Amino acid sequence: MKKNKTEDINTLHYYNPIEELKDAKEQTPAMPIEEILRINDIMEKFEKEVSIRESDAELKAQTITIGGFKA
Amino acid sequence: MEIQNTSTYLTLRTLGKLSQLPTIIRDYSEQLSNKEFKLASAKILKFVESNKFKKDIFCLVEYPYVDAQYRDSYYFYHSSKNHHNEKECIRVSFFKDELKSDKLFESVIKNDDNNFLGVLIIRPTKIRQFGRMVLSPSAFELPRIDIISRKFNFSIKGISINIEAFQNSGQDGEFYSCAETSLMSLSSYYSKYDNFNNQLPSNINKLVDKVRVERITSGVGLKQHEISYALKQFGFGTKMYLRNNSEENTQTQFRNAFNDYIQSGIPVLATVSTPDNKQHHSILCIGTDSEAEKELKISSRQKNFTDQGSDFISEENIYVSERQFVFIDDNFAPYRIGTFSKPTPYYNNEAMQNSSISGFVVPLVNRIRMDSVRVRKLFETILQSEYSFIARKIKQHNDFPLVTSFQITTSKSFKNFYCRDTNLEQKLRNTIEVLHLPKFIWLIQLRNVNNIVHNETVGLVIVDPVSPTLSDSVLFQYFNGILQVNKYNISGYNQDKQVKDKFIKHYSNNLKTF
Repeated sequence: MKKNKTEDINTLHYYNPIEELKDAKEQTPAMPIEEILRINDIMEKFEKEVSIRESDAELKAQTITIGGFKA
Repeated sequence: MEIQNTSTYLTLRTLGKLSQLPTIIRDYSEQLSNKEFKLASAKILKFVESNKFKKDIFCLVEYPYVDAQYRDSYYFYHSSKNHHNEKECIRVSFFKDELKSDKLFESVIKNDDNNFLGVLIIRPTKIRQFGRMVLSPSAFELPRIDIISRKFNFSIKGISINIEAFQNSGQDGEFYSCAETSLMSLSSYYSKYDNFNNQLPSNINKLVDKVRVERITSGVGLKQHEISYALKQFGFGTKMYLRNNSEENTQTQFRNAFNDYIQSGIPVLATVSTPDNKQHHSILCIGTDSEAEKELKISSRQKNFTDQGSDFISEENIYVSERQFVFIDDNFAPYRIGTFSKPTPYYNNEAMQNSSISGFVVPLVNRIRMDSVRVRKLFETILQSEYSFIARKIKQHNDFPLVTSFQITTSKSFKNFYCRDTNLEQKLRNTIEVLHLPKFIWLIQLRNVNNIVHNETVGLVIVDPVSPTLSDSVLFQYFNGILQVNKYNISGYNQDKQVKDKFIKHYSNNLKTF
């Protein structure tokens, strides 16, 4: 038997909890673009420092032979 | 009906107590005229005693047994020797309850998975005879431990039995060393996933041969970068860490990274170096001792936030006793206990007792680009920003220090953990369910000292390990009943109206307790 289209729509349940966040009572202001740039800058400098350290470690790793140790 | 034995091979099966094991193996060695098995019979008692096997367990000894690891090394190396003909191994299966010979099938079937403790392979190698070991922690006298493990399946008396364990292999003293056995144990764990295969000794030998400028002399070991290279060839996005003794800051990063990966359920391949830095040994770290009942050395303070240095503390530093780690060492049976500063106190050798971790290699997946060092720096930087959601909420908090833990997990496990929690407020569950997350996430959890006993978390931040920029990498933040989703950077829930829970369950899903 063919179903009534309006009845089908009425039985569906839509929800989107993330959309509802827009209506939240307490709002946190957005992070200004300058602040995002500042943090990205800190992370970029840190990345350079770490990369240098990692390159040194890679060289050192080529000199360490692991194995052959008996109990 | 008469059954005739037409087989040209000798088939041996014996049941006995653990204390009878030397006699059984000696008897086998005499029947087979095999001197390597005779050597094993002389060593087995010391092996079970020094590795603290439970005394009241029972064993089923079988010959012949085809062990894939030994068979691979046999065809690739041992068979080329003038005097090495034995291809078969002895398998010893361990059980909690006694197996009666007249009711053997019934005994194996009855409580099979609970009764079975795993297997030890005795191979006919010249120097070291104890090979692959798949043994449950329940086979040993151990404190409670939280470890990374997987399910193994064995056919005992024709019946398939499962066991939860982490594989260990003894080095044979000829063809492969600790570096190769660590790689094999690690690959055996990851072979539970579709993307990874179990690696045999000859595969590793062939892989390393491609990067080495000299021939590979058997059993000498591997260089640290060769271990890293082999892991990359297995399909991992390997990350290598080396200790830097000159800077205190980098030493802390080194230690934190080690802890973060273990808490994430990622086995870490550690290099242990003697104090004179002349000898190096490879071990796998697979977990920690259980911290559920440990005494805390810090107490909660009702105060406002001052600075990160004094108001945040890493999880590993909150207990009176130092965190103990569980290691897989190929010179011993599995699940050896040591600390980060002295990982191998179980050796008789003084140099090894005083050894420390000089480096480690982590088998990350390729998608995880942000490692522990970078994610910790990102979190530290966000906390210093007056505009960040989590920093603002922490400044309103008045219970310090906050205990931090960092771990990588899959978004599937994360969602499963919280969506199954029927005590979690419906709105929060719904939000977690629809969160758009990558396959792997960095999960940062913040706990009040008083909530540690109740396993509760007050704050939670999810970071995308792939995204390189700040604006995209922080995906979800929750603190004390208020949450923020990155998609709507300007929104937060009002705690009275929307989310009732102040504390949510502490996520810990990566390690299994034994």
